[in-house]
Amino acid sequence: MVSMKKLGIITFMIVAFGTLLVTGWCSAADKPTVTETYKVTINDVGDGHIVDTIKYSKDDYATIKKVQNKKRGFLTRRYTSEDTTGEVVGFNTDMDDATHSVIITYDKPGMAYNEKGEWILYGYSTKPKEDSGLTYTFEETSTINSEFTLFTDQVFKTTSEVTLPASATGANYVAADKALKYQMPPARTLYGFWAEQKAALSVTFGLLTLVFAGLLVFVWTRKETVVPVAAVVPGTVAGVTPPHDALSHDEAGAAQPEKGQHQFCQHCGSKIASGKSFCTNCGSKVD
Amino acid sequence: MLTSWCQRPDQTCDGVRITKGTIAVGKQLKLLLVVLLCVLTVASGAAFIFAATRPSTAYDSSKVKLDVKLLTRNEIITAAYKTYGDNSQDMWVAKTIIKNVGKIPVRDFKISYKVGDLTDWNSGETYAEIRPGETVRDYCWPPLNPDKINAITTKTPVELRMKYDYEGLKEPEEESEKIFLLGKNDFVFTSLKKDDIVTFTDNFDNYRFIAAFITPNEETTKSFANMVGSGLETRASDEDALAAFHNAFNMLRAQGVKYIMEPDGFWTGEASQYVQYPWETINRQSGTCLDLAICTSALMEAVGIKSYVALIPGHAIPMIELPNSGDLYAIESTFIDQDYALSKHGDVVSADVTAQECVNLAKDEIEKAQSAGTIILVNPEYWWKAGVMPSW
Repeated sequence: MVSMKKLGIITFMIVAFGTLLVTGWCSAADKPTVTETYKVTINDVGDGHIVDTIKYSKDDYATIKKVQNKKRGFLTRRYTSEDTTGEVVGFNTDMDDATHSVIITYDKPGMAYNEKGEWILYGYSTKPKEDSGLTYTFEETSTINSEFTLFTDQVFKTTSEVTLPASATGANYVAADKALKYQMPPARTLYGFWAEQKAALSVTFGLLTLVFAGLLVFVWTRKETVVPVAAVVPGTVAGVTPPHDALSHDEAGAAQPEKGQHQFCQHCGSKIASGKSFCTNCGSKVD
Repeated sequence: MLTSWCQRPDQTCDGVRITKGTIAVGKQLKLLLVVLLCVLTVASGAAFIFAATRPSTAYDSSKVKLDVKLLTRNEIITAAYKTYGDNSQDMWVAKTIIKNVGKIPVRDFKISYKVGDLTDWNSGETYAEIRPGETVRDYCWPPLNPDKINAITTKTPVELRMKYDYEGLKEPEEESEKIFLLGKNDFVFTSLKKDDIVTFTDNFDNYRFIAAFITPNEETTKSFANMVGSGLETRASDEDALAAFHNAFNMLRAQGVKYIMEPDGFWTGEASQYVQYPWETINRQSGTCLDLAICTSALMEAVGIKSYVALIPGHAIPMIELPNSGDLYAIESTFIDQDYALSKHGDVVSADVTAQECVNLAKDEIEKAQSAGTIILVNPEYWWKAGVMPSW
């Protein structure tokens, strides 16, 4: 087993390091379980934003931090291995001393699959504990043996919180597929009313623009708009007879001609010379 | 308009000048109309431009904009070819990341793959709609042809081709990448980058694929196992199971099987090894510690005994689990080669180098490794169920 021997030197170093880790970890092995909060927020096109908070006991956190400081990226190397190539974007790891937590954040494009308008989010083997419309909460307790436990068995209590897009409808958990399924509005409605009615609205507003512009030009080019008057006679304008009470007495008085101007007889319409009390044509009294 | 009644020609009231025979629209009204029409013209013009520049919901394939990336694994462990063809595993051979970077949805996106002459074009996937901004990850799990796989004895390059099509595309687009299939006997212990190897386990990150080399149903292995388990109740009796374990050791020795170190020429990389299938070890009458452990494990599984291959630093040891008590027994299988055992370890064994002596020796080795935390037990039954099926 030549290859194994060639690995001997590396292995020796690793074993030494591993022993150090295990020794450090063993004292923490019986401590309370690790609590993990795994929050996933899905956007309108199925991309996921993940915030994974792994909270350790004080001692465990100290051990984990020691390893992370010694070997940067050790905890999260699986997220950046060949298996996950092209799947994880904007990966970040924070160590929060105040809460003894490792906080991992990243985006996962295409996390939910679009199957003809029905969107599917796989990976949930247990029924949701809570379902508040668009947010589903899953709880699971499992024994983990990975980088996050330094390859010792640790009990993780994991709470996964999945928030679906605001426009999602008909969300439900499908146990057979171990998945959350939901519907999104048809793609064309994402463009909105204007895009959906683009042709009709373009024609309508195009025509309206032309009509208004035409009217504007028409009005603008009129110096005076002249309306013919059929016959302006006393008491009428444009052939319309005023009502009897159209003018009050005072108003009528206000309309009296000034001195030196002619009056007209109310009965026959003849001119009445200024200062005359009776019509020289019909003899009617002039008021 | 006219709020009071005008009685006399040449009289002006409320913007309407009464002249003999005409009424003229005044400047104030004209100004009002002009302003109103200006506002309406500008508003309707703006609405027209806004409507006309909205993305059309009508499908126009010339406006499709896709970002398509083909990603492949550098090396395929050919012995585990069934695993790569199983879409319930995460062992894809290639994957394509498709992102719609345009403004209209893409319809009926179809994608398929072909791996050299080892597969035909697969039926592939169809995505009815990929929305603007949406990303799709499509995986290639090719059903590789066993006969052609069997002929791959050394690391071999093959061209992985991917083609895709969608509604309105005149001709399917095609991309390709070269990938390497390892020889069917080549095993890479870890695919982790050198910098990422930290723990003992990291050295054997691919250990589950050892289960693919354990082939209890292959004909030569089955025939040999029939002799090993002949007359024994291996599934029901602890004593008989242990006896079969000893039998396998003794019968391989009787077959003339020798322990050999791996020839350097078989090296395929830093953390890799040429690994024999059980029938090859039996027929060639030789094997490395890992070959012998795999062969013993396959023989035990063939007679219904639960087995393991223990990986410890620089060595591999076969183990069995007794059917009733569940006790674990290991055996130093390299001591099948009596000459090797006596020449190298004569101080710890008798001249006969009995199976029982080798069980005792292996027990010590296992306990030592356990206390150091440097042991991995490959449980073939577990991994077969998990999708790493025997190759043959």
